[in-house]
Amino acid sequence: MLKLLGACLVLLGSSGLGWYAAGRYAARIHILEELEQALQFLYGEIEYAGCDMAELLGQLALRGQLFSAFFAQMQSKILLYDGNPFSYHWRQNLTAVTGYETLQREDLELLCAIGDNLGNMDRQTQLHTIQIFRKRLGEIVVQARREYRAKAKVSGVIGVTAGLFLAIILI
Amino acid sequence: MDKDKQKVKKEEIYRILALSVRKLFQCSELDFCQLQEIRLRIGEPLLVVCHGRELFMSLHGGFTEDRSQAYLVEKKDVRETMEYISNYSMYAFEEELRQGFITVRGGHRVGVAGKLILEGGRIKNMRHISFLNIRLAHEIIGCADSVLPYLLQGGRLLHTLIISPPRCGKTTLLRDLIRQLSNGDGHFNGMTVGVVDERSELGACYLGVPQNDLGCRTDLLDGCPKVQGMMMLVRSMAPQIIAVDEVGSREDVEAMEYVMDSGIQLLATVHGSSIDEVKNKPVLERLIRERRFKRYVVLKENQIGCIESIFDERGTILFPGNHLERLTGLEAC
Repeated sequence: MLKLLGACLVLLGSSGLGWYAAGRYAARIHILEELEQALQFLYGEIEYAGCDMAELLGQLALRGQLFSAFFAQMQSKILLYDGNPFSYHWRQNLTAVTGYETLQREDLELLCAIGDNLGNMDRQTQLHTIQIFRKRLGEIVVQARREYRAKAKVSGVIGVTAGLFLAIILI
Repeated sequence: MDKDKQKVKKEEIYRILALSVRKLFQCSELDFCQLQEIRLRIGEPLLVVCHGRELFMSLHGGFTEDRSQAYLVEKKDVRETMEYISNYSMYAFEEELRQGFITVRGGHRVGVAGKLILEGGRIKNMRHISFLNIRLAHEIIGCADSVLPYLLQGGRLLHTLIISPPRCGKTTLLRDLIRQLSNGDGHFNGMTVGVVDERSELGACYLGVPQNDLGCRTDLLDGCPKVQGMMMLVRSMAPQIIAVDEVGSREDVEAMEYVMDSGIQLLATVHGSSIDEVKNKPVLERLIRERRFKRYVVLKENQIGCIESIFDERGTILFPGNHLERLTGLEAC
């Protein structure tokens, strides 16, 4: 009886690990999609209203979910006028993004590049730069979805089968 | 000026200064009520104009007249200051940069100079900004007390033109006139005032809310070109008075005539040192000749807030020209 209980726990644990891995792929996509929406919002607001960065960050903090804390922190940090450039605050606060740990190196590189190129150029160049980032992000999202389809299912299956295999060995 | 106002002003200025420059100011015991300008030029001494006197900021935070002891402004100081002035959003200030200045919170005006980018002979933008001139705005409640009685007739404002050279207090006077006309007092009822604040100096709006007191019956168009703004106010806000600062172009004058013909009283300012000088401006000459303005307030040259004279459309002096009186409170700055 005890062996059976142990085997069930191993099976559940292993399956959980598989689903967790699959969940990370999904979380990454959600983050990237929200970043895409944020960039779209920035583009629109800069093009039509020309709002300043503090105001835009405040609005993004209210609109966002996964990026909400990040944008709120960014807004409060830049309003400190503490001698550090915008890109410094951006990089320092990236860990506030919910699910930050699921992001891959190329995602983080893109995120940092966005921070390096916000607010320090004229409107036309700023819009053009955001457009380039949106395009690049779009490519990453497509790739991430492809990876999700390929790997998420596999992770789940591997988790369950590994659990079954261990359970059988234990019994 | 009370301590609270001085504190607010100090914070408004500290907020836009680069950290190293800010520290120098914090070390000094500068009276912000007396401070008129802060000038930053890359590689040159940090200069302040206080009560009409130029002083170098020393390396240790005090003031000096010895250039060798002065703090030299670095490139990063100007870059950082520009970042703070623009709230890390240079793209949002293109139009202002084209005009050569940015108005910041509190209504302070920052003049900028650097390398201009031209497109088809027109100024497109400015880059490599190397020179900054931070001019402090001083809101002085009550400074129009001695002027206002001359501008009213039967509880109504007469079309008025304020004539003044730069840096003599015309915007400060206009701001207080707007506030008093809007609020009213025991002698006249408050009037609905529409203000076109093209350079954000009158209201010093931040996120659409005026930071300066313009009265309870004032509607303000912030950052709006004067011509379009006057038309919009006439059509949409039913003002009794329209106030505009620094008129001068032919289009401005046409819009002013439209306002006057709409039964709305006009309160405007213009650069100039005398009525004769303004008469010689081709665009304003006709309005003066046709006696459209009923009152002229002339501020004295080279003195802040001194009324030289007030006279009516026929040239009759209402306020004695040989008897200079400083506008209440303006002498403080």
